[in-house]
Amino acid sequence: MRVLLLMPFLGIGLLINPHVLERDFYRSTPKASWWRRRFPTLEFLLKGAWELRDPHPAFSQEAMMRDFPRLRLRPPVLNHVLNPEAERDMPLLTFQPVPATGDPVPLAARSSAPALLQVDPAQRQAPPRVAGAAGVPDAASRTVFDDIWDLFKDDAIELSREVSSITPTRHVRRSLSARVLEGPPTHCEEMDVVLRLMNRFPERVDHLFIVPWLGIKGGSERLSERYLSYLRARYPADRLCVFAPDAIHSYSEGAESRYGVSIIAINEEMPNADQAARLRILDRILINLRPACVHNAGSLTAWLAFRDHAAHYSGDMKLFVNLFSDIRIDDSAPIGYYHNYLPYMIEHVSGVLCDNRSIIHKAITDFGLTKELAAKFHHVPTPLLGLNGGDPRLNLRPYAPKRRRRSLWMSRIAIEKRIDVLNAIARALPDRQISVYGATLAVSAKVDMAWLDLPNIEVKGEFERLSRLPLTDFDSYIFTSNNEGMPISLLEATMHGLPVVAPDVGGISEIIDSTTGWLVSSSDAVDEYVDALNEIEKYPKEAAKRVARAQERLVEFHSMKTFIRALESVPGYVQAERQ
Amino acid sequence: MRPRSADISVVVFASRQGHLLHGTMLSVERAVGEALKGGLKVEVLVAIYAADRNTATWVHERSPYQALQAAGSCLGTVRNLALDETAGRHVAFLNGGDIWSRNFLVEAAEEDRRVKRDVVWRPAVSIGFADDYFDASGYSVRKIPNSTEFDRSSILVDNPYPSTFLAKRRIIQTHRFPAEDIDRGWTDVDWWWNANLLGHDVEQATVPETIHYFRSSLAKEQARKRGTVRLGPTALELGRRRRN
Repeated sequence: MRVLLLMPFLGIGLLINPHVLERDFYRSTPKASWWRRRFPTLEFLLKGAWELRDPHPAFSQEAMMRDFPRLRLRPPVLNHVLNPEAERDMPLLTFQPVPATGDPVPLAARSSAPALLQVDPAQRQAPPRVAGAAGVPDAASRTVFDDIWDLFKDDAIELSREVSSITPTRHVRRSLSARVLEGPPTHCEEMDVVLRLMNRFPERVDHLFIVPWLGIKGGSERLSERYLSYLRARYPADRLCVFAPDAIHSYSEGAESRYGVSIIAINEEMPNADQAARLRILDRILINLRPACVHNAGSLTAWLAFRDHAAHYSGDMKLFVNLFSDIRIDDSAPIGYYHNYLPYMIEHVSGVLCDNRSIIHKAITDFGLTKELAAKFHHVPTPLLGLNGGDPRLNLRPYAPKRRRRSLWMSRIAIEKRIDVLNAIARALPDRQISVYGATLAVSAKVDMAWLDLPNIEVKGEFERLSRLPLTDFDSYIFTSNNEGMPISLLEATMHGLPVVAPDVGGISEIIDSTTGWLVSSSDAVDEYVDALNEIEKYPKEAAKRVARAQERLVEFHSMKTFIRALESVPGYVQAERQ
Repeated sequence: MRPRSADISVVVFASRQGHLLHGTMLSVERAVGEALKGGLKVEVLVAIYAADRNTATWVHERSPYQALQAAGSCLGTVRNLALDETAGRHVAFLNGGDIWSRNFLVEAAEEDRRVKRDVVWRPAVSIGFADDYFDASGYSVRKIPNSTEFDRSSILVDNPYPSTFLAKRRIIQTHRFPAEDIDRGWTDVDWWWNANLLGHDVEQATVPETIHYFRSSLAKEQARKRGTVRLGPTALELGRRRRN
């Protein structure tokens, strides 16, 4: 019944638009019956159209049904002949390529170059417009892309010979509609943060000190304090700034007065920013602020920015980084800045500041650095003595234990600190009491403290100040880490007169050897630890001698004077000419 | 600079497009034709910079327009140089390889005449097309926003504007293009310039029913994704405070 109803309309449509059916093409379709070959129009009207046979080489009924599902009339050719505008895609009816004969280039030869171009307006067609109301579906059913397509189709067809990719075909329509790009966001919080941060920075920043965190207890923060103490004396107050781009950063109120410099953090403006956003924010801050010197004191975001853009930054600013150790974990997987960042930016940084010589030697050897690149490494030992300009020896305490067989373990609690080794030592020395002090940082992998399950181990946890610890209650200091640079806690134990038993990792051997303490071959050499602790118990005078020698090294390398001297020798670290 | 005898100075920037300039110049010719029909006087200049041999030869042999051979390869500098070489009250820039819709010039000039403010006029739609017809990934459609329709800080993330525009000469003379800085990675002078316009509250608006076509360059997009092409410092970012 439906076919009978629609057939007259199809017949009328084919009369109005006879070129829709290309008879020769339709006759020659495979397996054409006798009466299709003899009476193609009639066969198409009565049968072929309803079996979705294609009437024209450029017209696929099935493709049309697939591409334009909102067409209501079936077969699709019925839409095509009755309401072609509704298809929104009419290569058959509208594709009228520029004739191929003759030279299509209307550009005149360059014989004379007129200042004003003369074009005959009569040759020009009217500008394309969006199709009007006639023959167009109601506005509500149209999309933005429909309007664009109409514009495109009318305009691009003229140039489709010269630029064939813009021929308005179904393929192009599909491709374009598949990639309609969003406009800019109406609101961009990330870049608002950039603007707000920029407004908080002083007008001119000569030295930007980038920290991973402030307010989290650890050697890294104490090192930052020492650097800032040095820098404060060398820059006007508003030319030195601390920036904290990392998510981990948090600090207590009053930190600015404690450090004496402006501290600006992404967390204050956008605490939920992900790492990629933090990187983009820092990048824009550096591009716009362009401080003469940027010192990355261990910020992951800054390392990322330096790795990607150190070459771009280095034209405007001198870049410095701190480097302490080469960390590998588990199955020797290389992690950290040494392996994954330094080799890719060393060319463009001005200086790598290391707290131990071992890491410098290792980097030069591992990466096969030239003399020029090797010269960028500077040994800047962490200052511990004479911080206020006083005699560094006044900070030293002699070895005078009040109690025997008591050891101190003091460090940040982390997986690489090897508390499992500590437990093994305690098991081997049941008469020795070991006190464990230290905080667990959010940045560190969780450590199962249940490993410390022996009665002679007492976990004391975090401590506020080293001077509050009952240091004279201990006769030795045990250090069990397997990845280190120059551990501050070890230096502090030495300063407070404790003989040190530590493994030969990182730069520890620069301060501890057989004359200044007890250096064991590796962090899991439990027997060597046990022997050393027994020796300390048995020969307290020898322990006192070694402590005194270790303290001499502290005075030599870890005083504020040495620190200042080391930094003064780093080319470009202080931008004196801009003061 | 020559006396101002033209209403619009059209500048086509050619560098390494070779004979692909043919489509560009045809689109310029038909857009200029519409403008002439509307009673406007138009001059056309082809600015050649960092050109390969094919491009230079094509311009020499096939282009009937005045050519400016610019030394150096910095697009920002060449844009400023071309501006100084033209005389029209309005200027319209188009990159080689790109295409205007037939009506862009005439409609943009009409909009500028109707609107009494200083506005940089953009096509309403920017359509990307592939060199290879069958490469579907090269096609894209972007509706160009008016500068009042989005948060200005979002331009720091991406450039919503195509390279082509029509504007009063005095706008471009006041806000000249920045120079490329390859060492610093600030090589997208158009993006940078757009950010500067926003920072100086210069309005950018679209001309209804006009189109800009551009050749998609996968390499360019990838470079931007990798972050090697970045926006330089902008007045906008300076927090409305001038630095250095």
